Amino acid sequence: MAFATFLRRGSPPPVFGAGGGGSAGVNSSASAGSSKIIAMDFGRRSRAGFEDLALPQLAALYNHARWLCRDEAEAEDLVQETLSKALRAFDSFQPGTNFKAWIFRIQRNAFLNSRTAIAESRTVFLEDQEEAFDPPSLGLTPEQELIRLDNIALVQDALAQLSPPLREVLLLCDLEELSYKEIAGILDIPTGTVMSRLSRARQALRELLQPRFGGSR
Amino acid sequence: MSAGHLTPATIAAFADHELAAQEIAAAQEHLAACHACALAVLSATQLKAATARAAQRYTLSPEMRARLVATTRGRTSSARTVPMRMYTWAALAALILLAVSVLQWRGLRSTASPTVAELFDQHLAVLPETSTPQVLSSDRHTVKPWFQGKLPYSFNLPEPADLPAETVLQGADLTYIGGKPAAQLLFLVRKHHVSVFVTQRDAIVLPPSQDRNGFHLVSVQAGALTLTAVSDTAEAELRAVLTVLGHAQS
Ligand SMILES: [Zn+2]
Repeated sequence: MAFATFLRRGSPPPVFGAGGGGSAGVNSSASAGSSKIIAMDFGRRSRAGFEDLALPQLAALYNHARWLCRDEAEAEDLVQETLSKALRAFDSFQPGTNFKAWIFRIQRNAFLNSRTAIAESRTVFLEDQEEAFDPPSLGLTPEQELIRLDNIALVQDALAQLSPPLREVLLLCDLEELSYKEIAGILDIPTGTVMSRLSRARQALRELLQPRFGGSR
Repeated sequence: MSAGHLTPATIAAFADHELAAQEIAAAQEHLAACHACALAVLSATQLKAATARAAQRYTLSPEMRARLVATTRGRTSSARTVPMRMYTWAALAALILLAVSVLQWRGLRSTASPTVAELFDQHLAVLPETSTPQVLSSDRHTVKPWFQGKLPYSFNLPEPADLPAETVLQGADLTYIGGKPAAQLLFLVRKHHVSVFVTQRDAIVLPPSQDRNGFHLVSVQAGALTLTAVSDTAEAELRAVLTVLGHAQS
């Protein structure tokens, strides 16, 4: 089928009608910043409506689960559990809010109760010291980074070395492109803590990347 | 804000799209005039983009996807396009353009042939959010006839369903390569803007592939045409798009 979709750079993505037989529509908000998928309430909170919202998130949920669990089978289990829980809780989803942030929060809570999290990092994940906002350093010159950050494997390696809470906040912000406010909701922390954690995460990432390139600053 | 330099917090918020509209305007006004802050914003955005790329590490196998879809205990829905993150990548692209002016895109221009440089430039030119394709449609029945009479040759577009996963035709531009009219097809491949230039085989001479600062150029022959893809996405993804387009020509 041909999509009659008209995409305009820098303007809000178009509204998508539901697939054949579906009852819920999906609307992309016009807010600047990351585009959001927002459910319109059509009065019927059907499974098809849930699928319309959840299926586009599968790849992101799985990738995020892999970074959390560090294991393929456990990550799949986690996404499966997330989908089951989200389906059961779908009635509590507030139309007009970001579904992605909602389901990521469910996945995160499911993860905190998982074997891996309890065994490895639950205390680390839950630890939350309130700290002053630490402004990010200006870091390397972009010229250097244009060359250096090209190497995806090196950045992946550095990401893998970050402490779980720092990696988590960085993934939600830089990859999933959720707003500070949405991230605060997922992690159950104040927005100020999101900012300071992000700043620490980026500083740590730079520090991990620098020696590998023999960089100096 | 125009009085002093942007604060580190503002730079971070700019890169994270957390500034309000009027703050963005003020920041952009300062950035246009201030080299140091422009470099700092570019640096922050580069790191963010590198993180996003590197963090997208694990892909869902079709089997796993099928199992997960089954979890929702419903029908398997047909592929749908969800063009997310357009704003983000447009903003990043705008910053890359900023880098072009700031750094003169050193590596890019210094060793590339004039034609290769022209193609990179044409691709970069469509990235900023202010640029809109001349024909804005993902429908091949709209896009292809639009070129009628504008080009001295014709070409085919594949069915959207035949394109690789997460690949969407966004629109097209008429452009000029080496002074000759050429088609520039604009695709979105997993968040990345991809330009595919359709030219007559004998009109331009290109290397089969070329890398410049994270941007790739891949060129293949398809009958009487040369198909050239330019993007910052993985070379394999460019080849996949070109293969489908190549098939459509035969
Ligand atoms: Zn400044």
